[in-house]
Amino acid sequence: MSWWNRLTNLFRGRDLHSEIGEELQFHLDARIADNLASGMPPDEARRDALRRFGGQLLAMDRSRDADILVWIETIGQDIRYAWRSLRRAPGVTAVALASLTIAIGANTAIFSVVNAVLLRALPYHEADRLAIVWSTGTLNGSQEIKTSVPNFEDWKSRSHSFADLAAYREDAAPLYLATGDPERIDYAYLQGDLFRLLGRSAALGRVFTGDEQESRVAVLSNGLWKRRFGSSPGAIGQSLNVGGIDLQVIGVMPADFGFPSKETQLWTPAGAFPRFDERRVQRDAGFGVVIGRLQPNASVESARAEMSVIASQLAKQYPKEDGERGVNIVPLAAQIHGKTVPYMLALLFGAVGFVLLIACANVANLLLARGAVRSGEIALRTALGAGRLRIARQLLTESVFLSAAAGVLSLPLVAWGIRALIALAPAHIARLEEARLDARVLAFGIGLSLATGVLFGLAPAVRIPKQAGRSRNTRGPQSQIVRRLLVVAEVALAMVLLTGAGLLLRSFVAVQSVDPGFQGQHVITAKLRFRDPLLRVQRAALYREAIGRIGRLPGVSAVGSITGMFYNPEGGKFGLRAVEGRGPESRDRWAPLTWSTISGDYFQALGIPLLRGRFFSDRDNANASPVVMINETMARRYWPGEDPLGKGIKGFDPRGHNDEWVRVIGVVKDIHSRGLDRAPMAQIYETQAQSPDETEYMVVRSETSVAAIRDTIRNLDKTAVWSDVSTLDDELRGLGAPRRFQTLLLSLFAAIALALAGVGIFGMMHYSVAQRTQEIGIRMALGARPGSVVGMVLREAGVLVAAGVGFGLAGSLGLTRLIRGLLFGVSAGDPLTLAGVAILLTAIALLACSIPARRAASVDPMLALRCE
Amino acid sequence: MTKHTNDRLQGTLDLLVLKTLAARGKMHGYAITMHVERVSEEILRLEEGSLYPALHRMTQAGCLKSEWSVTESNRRARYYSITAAGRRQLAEEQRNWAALTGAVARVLQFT
Repeated sequence: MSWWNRLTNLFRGRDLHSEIGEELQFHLDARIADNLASGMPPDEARRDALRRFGGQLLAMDRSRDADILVWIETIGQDIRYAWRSLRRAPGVTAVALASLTIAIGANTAIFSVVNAVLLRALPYHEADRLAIVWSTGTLNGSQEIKTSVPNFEDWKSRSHSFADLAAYREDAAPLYLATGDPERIDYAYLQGDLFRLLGRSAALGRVFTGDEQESRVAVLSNGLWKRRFGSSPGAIGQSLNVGGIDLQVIGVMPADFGFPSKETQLWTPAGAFPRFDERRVQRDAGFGVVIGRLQPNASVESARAEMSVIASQLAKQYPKEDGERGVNIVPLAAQIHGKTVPYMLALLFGAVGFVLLIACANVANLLLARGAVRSGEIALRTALGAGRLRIARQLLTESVFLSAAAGVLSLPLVAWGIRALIALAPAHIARLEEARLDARVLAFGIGLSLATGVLFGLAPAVRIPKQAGRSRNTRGPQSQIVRRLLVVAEVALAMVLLTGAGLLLRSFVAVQSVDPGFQGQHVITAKLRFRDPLLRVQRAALYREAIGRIGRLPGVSAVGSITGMFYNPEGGKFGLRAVEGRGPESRDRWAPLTWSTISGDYFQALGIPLLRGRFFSDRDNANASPVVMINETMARRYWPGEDPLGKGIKGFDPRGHNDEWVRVIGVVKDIHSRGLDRAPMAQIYETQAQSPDETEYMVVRSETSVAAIRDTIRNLDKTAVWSDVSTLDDELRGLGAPRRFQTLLLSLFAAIALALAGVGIFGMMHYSVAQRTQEIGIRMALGARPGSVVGMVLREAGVLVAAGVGFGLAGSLGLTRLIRGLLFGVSAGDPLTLAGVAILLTAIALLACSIPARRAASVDPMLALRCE
Repeated sequence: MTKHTNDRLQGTLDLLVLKTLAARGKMHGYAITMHVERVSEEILRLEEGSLYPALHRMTQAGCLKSEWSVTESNRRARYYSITAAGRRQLAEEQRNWAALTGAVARVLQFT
């Protein structure tokens, strides 16, 4: 029975409470009445009635409701009091507010980016159930290979882990509309019911389904619709041509839809892909990237297990095509973020976290110092009956009030910081530009402010009432220890940040001084495409003509083109099918390798010197025997210590009329085509005249304007699209953008940390000197010279800084290992950097001490003695 | 219902309350106090601060039942009465008490 009663009591707590009150009141009243009747005076009668109850009644007196009211009221009092006492010390308050505002603002701004990029759900229905299903190369370790159409169909029919599977193939091609200039756009062919799988529908018109694979329709991105159709509903039903395919617009997506990337501007069914019917039977030709929606009862792990079984079945069934194919499943969010962006954001978040800790230590220290000054006031309040807990609460309220004020003040800083971060950040961080000061960021800022207030308020709240509990003017030695520890911690944290920033700065300088292997000044780069469908020979002729005409422009010294100049640093490993006079190369010797096609004077335009042999000539045409040029790394890899000229190789696609040996005719210098901080990789260059590939990436060494080149192209062919115009220097700078961003921000945070640590040391020493005025006065009265007094102050600070640097050194050695992947030309425990940082910190500490030291030296002995 | 048997003091208070209610029927807390004081000729005075917690505890345990009613002087008061479970508990407490006092008496009479 009793559990039932207890349960019901829970629900009628309030009622029960008043019933008990009434019952007790009745008892009291009855007792008082009886006491009065027996002749007691009223006061006595009441006191007796209460006494008989003992302590129980007092406990009952503290009804819950009253408690909360009192609590709210005293909080209000505390806040008013906090405001008054903070105003009384404007200097301390200003310094504390400034450091907290910067620290909270920096943390909140970084959080807004982390939130926008990593934490927010992707804009798809139940996005956490979406995953990319990659084909893998089991022999060369490639993790991200496109999946052929037959394999996709088999995956779809055989797997049970996915509610649905679809695929996309990204492409870029000229877009022609009825009006306006052609432009090059990124677009995607979709196989299956991709829109339904993502759970998204059109903002205008409709999307296509998996049953419309054969229709020639297009869905536009919101951006393209706005830009080219002026956001007109009339866009629906219009015709356009992309990559030589005529399509009819059926829908427009909402603005937040950008799949697979925000650059994708148009979606069309896979059936529109040129000669898609051939793809249906080519099991060995990768076509698209497969995305799946996991069944509610399936996990990534279970799906991975099932898919690897399916992959091995397919490998047995089709050993020729699928013998080396595996499967890898990556959750969509992880695929979009990659590895570098979360790492970069974690690094920045860690750094601002350090800044916040330093600011907290700083403010705690300031408040402790002020608490010592206020010990008289607090002793008085204690004497008037305020409990230690009450005073601790008052002090904590002050701290939280301070940090809340800083939180509010930091808001403009956060808004500005978010804009700055978006502007400075390297391109292509998905969803970064959606970072803003929204409710979630605001909640984070508020939570952080309150937590910060409690964190830095805890030490003062615990220590100050204790100090005041002792006699008036003794500052407990313990408090000194706490304050010294805080300064040591500040210095140590600042040291770690400075070391990290120092290492990144040195790496940055080292990367900047790397010779890219080409001369990027005055090299214009752009992509050039002609209208499809054209015969290969026609297109090749157009490219040749374009290169010739641009080359004849005044100011142009060399023009060339290549399939692609820069490569993903994480690209896969490859090898050759055969090298003349050798056995087959074992797969474990494979390394990054590219086989690209060039046209015109590519090497001359970039200033890449020829080391041996010759450049391509007009005689190296389709009818001549196939030839290639290679770079130094390639020469070293296959012919170490030998002359590579005249040697024969075979790639995986046959060349010549009868899979002939492809002969090396020249060796050029290496270039850093994967970024300056990556070692050059083996490169093979083939001439366009002997290759099936197009060389759309143009390089023009020129003093002339981009406009002149653009006009030349337009005069050549009205349908030509000249896009992505840049300079080689800018391209190179873009490759270094993530490093620049991280170095810049980490240096900024380290500088803030250094300034805060300086303020902390100054505060500590200033207070220490103020406290020891008498002692110093006596010393000087007894004949101490100002110099020795200064020495005393510096010694005191020196011990703290030395301890901080010591701990910081240990911390740096441990933590800089985390950024080892970012270091270039410098080791994690680089002694020069560590020494430099230690010297810098010591110098700043000395500077911070100089004012208190000078003050100490100028103490007037008489005044100091009279002080008491 | 064998709670508190190891707690003599508590047991005594419970015993007095149960016995009073068994003998007198429905009573409010104050009347129970008065009854015990009167019958024990002012020797036993209930600790009033613990009386109400005890009453509530026994009510929750099902030994007592309570209801709001009106006193002779026309005031609302909570009246308690003993239940069947309460009578069993009373018998048990009385046995314990007899055993205890008997044991103490035997120790005292030992010479």
